[in-house]
Amino acid sequence: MTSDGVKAEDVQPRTYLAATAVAEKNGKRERAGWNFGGRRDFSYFAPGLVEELAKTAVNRTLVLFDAVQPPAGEIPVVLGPGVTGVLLHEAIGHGMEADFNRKKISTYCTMIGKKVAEPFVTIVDDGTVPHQLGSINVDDEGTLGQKTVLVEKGILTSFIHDKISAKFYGVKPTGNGRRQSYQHYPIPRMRNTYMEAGPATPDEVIRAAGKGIYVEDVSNGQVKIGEGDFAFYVSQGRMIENGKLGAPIKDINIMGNGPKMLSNITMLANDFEFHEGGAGACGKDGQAAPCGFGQPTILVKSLTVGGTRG
Amino acid sequence: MKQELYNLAESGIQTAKAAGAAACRIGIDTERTVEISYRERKPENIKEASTKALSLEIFVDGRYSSMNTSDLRKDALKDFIGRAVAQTRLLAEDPFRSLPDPKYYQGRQDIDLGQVDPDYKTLSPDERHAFVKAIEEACLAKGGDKVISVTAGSTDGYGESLLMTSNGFDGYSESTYFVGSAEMTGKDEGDRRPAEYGVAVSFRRKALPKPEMIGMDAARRTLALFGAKKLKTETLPVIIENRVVARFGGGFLQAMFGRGIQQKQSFLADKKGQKVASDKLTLIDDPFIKGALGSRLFDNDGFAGKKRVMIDAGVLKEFYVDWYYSRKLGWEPTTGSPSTLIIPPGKRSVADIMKDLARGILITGFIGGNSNSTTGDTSIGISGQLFENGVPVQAVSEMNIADNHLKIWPRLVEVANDPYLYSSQRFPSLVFKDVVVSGI
Repeated sequence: MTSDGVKAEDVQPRTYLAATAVAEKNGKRERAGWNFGGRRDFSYFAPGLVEELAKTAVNRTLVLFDAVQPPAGEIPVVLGPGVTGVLLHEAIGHGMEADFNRKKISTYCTMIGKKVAEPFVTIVDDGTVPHQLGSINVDDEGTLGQKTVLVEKGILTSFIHDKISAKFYGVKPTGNGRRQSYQHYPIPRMRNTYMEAGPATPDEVIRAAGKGIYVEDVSNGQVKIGEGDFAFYVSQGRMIENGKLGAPIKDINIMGNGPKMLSNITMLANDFEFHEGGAGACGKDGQAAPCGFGQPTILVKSLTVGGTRG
Repeated sequence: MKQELYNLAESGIQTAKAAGAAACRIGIDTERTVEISYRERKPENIKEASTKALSLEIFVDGRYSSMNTSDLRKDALKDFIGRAVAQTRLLAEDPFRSLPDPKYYQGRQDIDLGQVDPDYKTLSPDERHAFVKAIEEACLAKGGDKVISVTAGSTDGYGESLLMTSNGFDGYSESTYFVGSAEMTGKDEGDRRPAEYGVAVSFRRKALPKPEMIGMDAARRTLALFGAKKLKTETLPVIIENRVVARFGGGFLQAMFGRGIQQKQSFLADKKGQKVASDKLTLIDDPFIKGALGSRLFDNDGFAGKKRVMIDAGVLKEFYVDWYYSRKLGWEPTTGSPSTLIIPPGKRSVADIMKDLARGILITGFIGGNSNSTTGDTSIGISGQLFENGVPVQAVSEMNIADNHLKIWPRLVEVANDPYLYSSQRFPSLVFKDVVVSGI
């Protein structure tokens, strides 16, 4: 309830089931895991899903025994569908949160209406996707959850607003005024951020990369809002050699610059997926908020890969 | 308030026992914090929060649970504890869960750790605002026409904490804290807007540096990032600046915990007594340093604090093993968590060390990255300064180092003389040789 007349209530459930596996082979140990969840009730966690979870966690662990280190340097990077959308969230989405732009500390603050990507790139932040972690019926300022197009056909069209930033920019709030709990004040936060699919097949995208790496899963993403620089830890992936997937890779960092990466996206596949996980949360200003993300297979012309081979 | 906490904990233990618990541990924390931040010479945020929370660990029928509540009203707490005991009975048995043997509670020191500022209650709103304004002004002045935005802030607080068990332990502590901070974003070439921060934290207000120092430090660090470039991949010596050593060292530290060892997720599990780093590395866990941010008289199990040498001249001597994992591992417990960590400082300053290294990188910031506690593999983004013959010649960003903890710590060649005091991990700057720094 607010003094400007809003009366609203919302239930925002969150459940997840996670598994971690540790395996040993020839004296070497590897560990990996997976989780399923979201804004789900317990009927989602049927026996079939539990079995899939266990198999996924084990398979993701066993493949790591064959992992190699890619060479260090700038190479083409293919981001697989679904979970790698966290990179979109971190490297691009945060820079579009309007408080950073209102304070002129985001690299995107002068780019509304400008071309930031190729015309086949559309990025959306949507609070209305069923079961996704960032879905809300109403935000913490009483604005209804809604779909907000951030980049439309390559043009930056909107920031992510709470009421303060919307007033500053003279636009309607986008329903992104979120807070962790009663102890915190609402600030612009993403909900479910995703990039729409393109026309290519995933194989065509991998073929076009030629020689590079294919990223299946990432963790520990961080972005510097002002410079746009970001870094991600690749926990699962593959080498790409001669346009085909090769040996597994793991435990390397990829680095880049958000605006540069966005303009360097050269292909999108037709295999869009949301990540169906329920663990983890986005952190900002000391507040945690559950967010969803998704994307199709994406080819980025080049990113810095941190290997041990120079 | 202290007696009130004791009354509440004693009543909670009695209620749990009456509800059927075989044993229980109760922790109660209260805290008041005040935060102020300024931007464009105006207050940006002012926030005050007072919180109380109770954590309850129940042991019943060989089962265990841990629950929390912030509703400390008498009737509500009674209902909460009753439900907690009933819900614990629904869980699987865990034969390793119990309260510690009380012998580990013995030997607690009775010393003043210097964690309370006697003047805290006299701190006025005007003093808080003046402190933050001084930080902002100094940052604006030092940043000059390069400033896009400066946010200066102050946080202070007072907290009390009580831990009590049904088998005879009780421990109370109180502390105050003061934080001053500034973050500057500057206008660099093109659309780049580098940002860096300065921060200081202490139990006592008078132990903080002057606010001007905090503001100028933020500006100096931001300006140092201007013109940052990604360089060609090269194998170089690197110096990790004192205030970011903890982030890199955390990947090593996480493999020293009993949980990871018991679950076979530690690359150090079989390395006790072995050389895991160069002889330049000694790591001491010292809970008794007056005014240090990690100091304590007892840990979360109630174990009496004890100074421990965790790594001695590169040899791994101890792990962090709490009561539960000591039972699972069949080991003697140590403590479940670090107190104040020290790497004894060396003799030379970073500036002097840089003069001796013909060409290298001073790492002043990390970004992203991770460390695999099972294998020791680590990869992390860096920013900082390329230096030649002691002189910074180029700011660097979008670069990366990748290594394995068991391979890089033996390449630690020098420890600087500058321990970072605004952290419970009082680490000096560290120098590593032959590090692959990835770029173009």
